Amino acid sequence: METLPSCSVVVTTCVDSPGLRANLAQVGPQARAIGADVCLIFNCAENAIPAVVRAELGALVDVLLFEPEPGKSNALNTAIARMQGEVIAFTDDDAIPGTGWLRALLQPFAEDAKVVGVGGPVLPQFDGDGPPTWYRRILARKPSTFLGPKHFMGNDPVDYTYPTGDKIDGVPLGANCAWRREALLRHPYPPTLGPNRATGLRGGEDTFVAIQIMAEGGRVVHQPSARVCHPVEAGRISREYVLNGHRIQATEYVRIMQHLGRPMPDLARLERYGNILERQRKRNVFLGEDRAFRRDTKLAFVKQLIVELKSLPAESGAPALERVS
Amino acid sequence: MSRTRIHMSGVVVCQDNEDTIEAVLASLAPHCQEIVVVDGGSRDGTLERALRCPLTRLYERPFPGSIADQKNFAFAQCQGDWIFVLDTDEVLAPVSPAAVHRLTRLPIVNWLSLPRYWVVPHQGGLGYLSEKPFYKDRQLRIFRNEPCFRYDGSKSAIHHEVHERRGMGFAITKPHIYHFDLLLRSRAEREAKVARYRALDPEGERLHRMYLYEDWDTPILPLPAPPPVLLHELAAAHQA
Repeated sequence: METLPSCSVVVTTCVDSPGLRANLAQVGPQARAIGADVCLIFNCAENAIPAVVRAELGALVDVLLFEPEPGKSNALNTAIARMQGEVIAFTDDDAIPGTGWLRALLQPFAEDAKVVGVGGPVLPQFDGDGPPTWYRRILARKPSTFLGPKHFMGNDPVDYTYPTGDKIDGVPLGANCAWRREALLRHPYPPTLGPNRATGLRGGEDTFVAIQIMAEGGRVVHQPSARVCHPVEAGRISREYVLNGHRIQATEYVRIMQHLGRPMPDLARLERYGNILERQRKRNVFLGEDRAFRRDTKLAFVKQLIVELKSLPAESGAPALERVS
Repeated sequence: MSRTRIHMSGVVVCQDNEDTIEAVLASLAPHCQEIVVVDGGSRDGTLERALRCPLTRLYERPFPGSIADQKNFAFAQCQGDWIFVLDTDEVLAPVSPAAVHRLTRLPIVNWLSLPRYWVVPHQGGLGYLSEKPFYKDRQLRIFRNEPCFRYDGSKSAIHHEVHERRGMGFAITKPHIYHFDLLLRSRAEREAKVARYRALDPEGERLHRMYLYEDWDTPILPLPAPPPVLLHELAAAHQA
């Protein structure tokens, strides 16, 4: 059996919650079993968290940090700089890792020194009777099993392939991934992306870093046995939340492409497509509710993409990033 | 890996079923686009074996003490428009999924019930208990993914039924379900199981006693179609 690399698990949060406690209850024993350390970092000032809570949570983890600068990316970078594990594993504060999650996540690093990153499935978990039909149908059409970039590559271990062209799918999600620390130090999380109350964004930082690291040519492995479940709050199962999510994804998409120096989508073509969707919206009043909503999600994405592209300067971005073979 | 729309979600709730889980999932897979497996805390190789099925979406949830509750949790994770549920002591007869799918495409159909064989050792081979209450023992296992089709565990901690059979449905003649619990356990083990069930649910006595099939004088007939390989293996293990 291969020796697992030294590891630090980083959990980022803003507030104490039952979900966070449940997460740490899973992560802590798994980390201790293999000698890894756990870092919990609050994305707020230390005095924003009551002393009692600080003491309680501090007892559950090895390192408790605070990053007052708003933005998950800032918190992640602070934690990476502080923790010394050869590999840094990440999970969301409200995700529930499955049995053997951390060991499974580290296994590919032990088997091949060329592995720079590992990602695993993030499975949505619903309460009660489950989500309504319209939500299920949106989810069922996603290649991801989750409302996010495609990350789930099936139940067999495979390598993620470097996403080319205008698609940025096929990368590990930040809720369930591990990277070699030296790669993360070369490619810090961008403060302009990622969940941030100031900017209103919900993510994108994990995708950006994953693509940058993959561009260097290192292996990034999909490890299906490293599973985490991600409870989906009832508040997220609303049409407005999903539509807003598509708008935000458009903003994140443009920023990622801009950071990567990739060519942007053709604005004129997008405007034509947006007009077609808009006309369909007005004409097809008898379209089924589910199909109409799916079209609305596309329209929300395209409209926001157009707004973002129009706000860009004429010549923007660094030279295009080519993958080292 | 792109995904097409999920029409049928399979559901299997398991715990320490490493010997049977693969066969159960394999028999369910042709009918489904995804299979939600909820494990109650297996300590054997169930999780690894469940993941060998490419359609599996595996959740871990400590067994809450009610199988109805665990299955309802599994139903909540399904992304399909229909649900097809099997237990870990059941496999489906290998038939084309087309017939089932034709029915589930009809907007007026809301549920389908399937006949079930209670498989027992018979003359060195396999047979089934051929009269009531063992056959056809219709099981409501295919239904729309809607809140009305959820299990009600309030009446019995052991035997559970859906809240209501809303709308129109059909009792179909195939695929048959092979229920092989009687092959898995010896008489002594089944007596212990019945005693346990009796303590949990005294009112379900008649259903509990079905596990002691030898007491019923029900005729046993050979299985009409060749049963899945797993059943032969289990019968051989039983005889050994």
